[in-house]
Amino acid sequence: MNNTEVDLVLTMPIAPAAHLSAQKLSQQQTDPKKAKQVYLNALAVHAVDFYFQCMEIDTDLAASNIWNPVIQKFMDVADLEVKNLGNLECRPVREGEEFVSIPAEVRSDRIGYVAVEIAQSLEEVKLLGFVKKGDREKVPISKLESIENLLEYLDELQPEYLDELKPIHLIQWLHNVFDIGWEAAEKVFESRQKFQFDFRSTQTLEISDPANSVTQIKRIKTVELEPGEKVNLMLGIMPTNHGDLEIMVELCPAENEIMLPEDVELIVLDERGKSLVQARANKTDSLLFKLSAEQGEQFSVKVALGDFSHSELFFT
Amino acid sequence: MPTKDEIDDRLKQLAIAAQNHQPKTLGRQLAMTNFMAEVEKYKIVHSPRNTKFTPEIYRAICAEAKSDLTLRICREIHNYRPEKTVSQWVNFLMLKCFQESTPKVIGKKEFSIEYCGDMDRVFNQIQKQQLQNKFCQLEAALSDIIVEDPGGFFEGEVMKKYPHVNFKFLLVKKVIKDESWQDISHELGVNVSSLSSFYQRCVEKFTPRFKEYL
Repeated sequence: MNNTEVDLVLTMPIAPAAHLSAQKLSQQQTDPKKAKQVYLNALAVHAVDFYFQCMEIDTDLAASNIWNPVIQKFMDVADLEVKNLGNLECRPVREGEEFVSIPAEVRSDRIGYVAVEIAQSLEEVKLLGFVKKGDREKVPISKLESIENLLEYLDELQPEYLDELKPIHLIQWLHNVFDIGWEAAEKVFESRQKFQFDFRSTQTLEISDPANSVTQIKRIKTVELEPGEKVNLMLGIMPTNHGDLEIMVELCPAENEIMLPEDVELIVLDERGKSLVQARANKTDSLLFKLSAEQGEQFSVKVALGDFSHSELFFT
Repeated sequence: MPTKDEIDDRLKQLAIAAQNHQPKTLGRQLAMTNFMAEVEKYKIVHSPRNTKFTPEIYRAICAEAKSDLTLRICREIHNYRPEKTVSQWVNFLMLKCFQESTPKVIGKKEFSIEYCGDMDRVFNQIQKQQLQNKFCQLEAALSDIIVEDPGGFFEGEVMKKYPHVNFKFLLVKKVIKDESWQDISHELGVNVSSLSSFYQRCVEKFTPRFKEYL
């Protein structure tokens, strides 16, 4: 949908605190042209952040590059992090301008570009619309998608499993508090003498010697992807001397199966839902990833087969 | 142009539509965005009359109050009762926001100097202040650092695929000569996105070093 006259353009007031912030940031720049750019960038970011506050969409304003005088000095950046989704670029537009400019330095790694028209009076802004891709230096205002589409787009980007899933706190596993459905690996081994999980490719997470004081935890959950199509998801954790956690994620065949379903995929995603590692089974009997995480990090594991998928959300 | 009754009715329907969705859902967000757009379109919010403040202070209080009001409307839409018109409800809230904003603005020393309500005046003010401040000297030091590049750090940062392109060259072109990416791309024979991504990575890498001069 293009932003024709019938589309919604939202006018929002600019809070005086946003002006004060913009003014202080612009004063860190010496070049008057740059100072203006920083002022307008800051107002644009504050305006979108304020709109998201109204919509109760979580952002991390403090993480924006508008606060970094060095980045502002060398680049034209107005980013706003939308939590769990990624960075949105907030591009200021002056009244009467027919295009929104997208500088080359922000044309990658953004989830979208919002055009913010700043009134000459500096009393209000208009959220004109947005584009998903910044592949052009100038985008005509008439080609923008509406703000309603932005809300729908952000909603689509929201990884559904982050909302629906009860997060698993791995630290609790170290205190022998386990989540329902996660069985001790050893218990599953007992019933499956013939097809034991293979730890050959891991070094830090070798099967624990009971006499060894280092805590190593391995738990397994059976996941049903399609009716009758099951796989075993195993998660192994071990704290390191540096306070980090070594993590092993392994996908294995279900009981009575030798191989994994050929098209099954194992994906590990970061807190924004961005894929970190991904592999397809093809004709193998296991998929294995090794990760390392600091305390307080978040990741999710997705097992997918055709239209079916299962996700688990973990906190370290 | 719709009549006052038609506007009241339309806004009431939109408010009820928003109430029918849970907070933080797409349905609520879309309904509230529509509601706010219509409230703005029909200009139903009125600032309380100015009886005792200078025009600058009054303008500042109104700006603060309008911003608070917008947030409050979104967060408190569940409190709207259809027995009242939307106009009555939002103006009742506006009066409260105005009263709450007044002491905040009066008590703020910085505020009235910072904000003039006109873009060109604000920029002129910024420019004047810059001429008097210490940053001019720092700027000169920064340019020197780029040109002299002690230790050759900037020059040593080269693009893997295009070894003839280094960070120092791009810094001089972008920061000192203010050239466009297109011109630099043309001169070097490397596309804009590769150049700008490399530049972006280098700026982030050297930020701690630059911070010493800013």
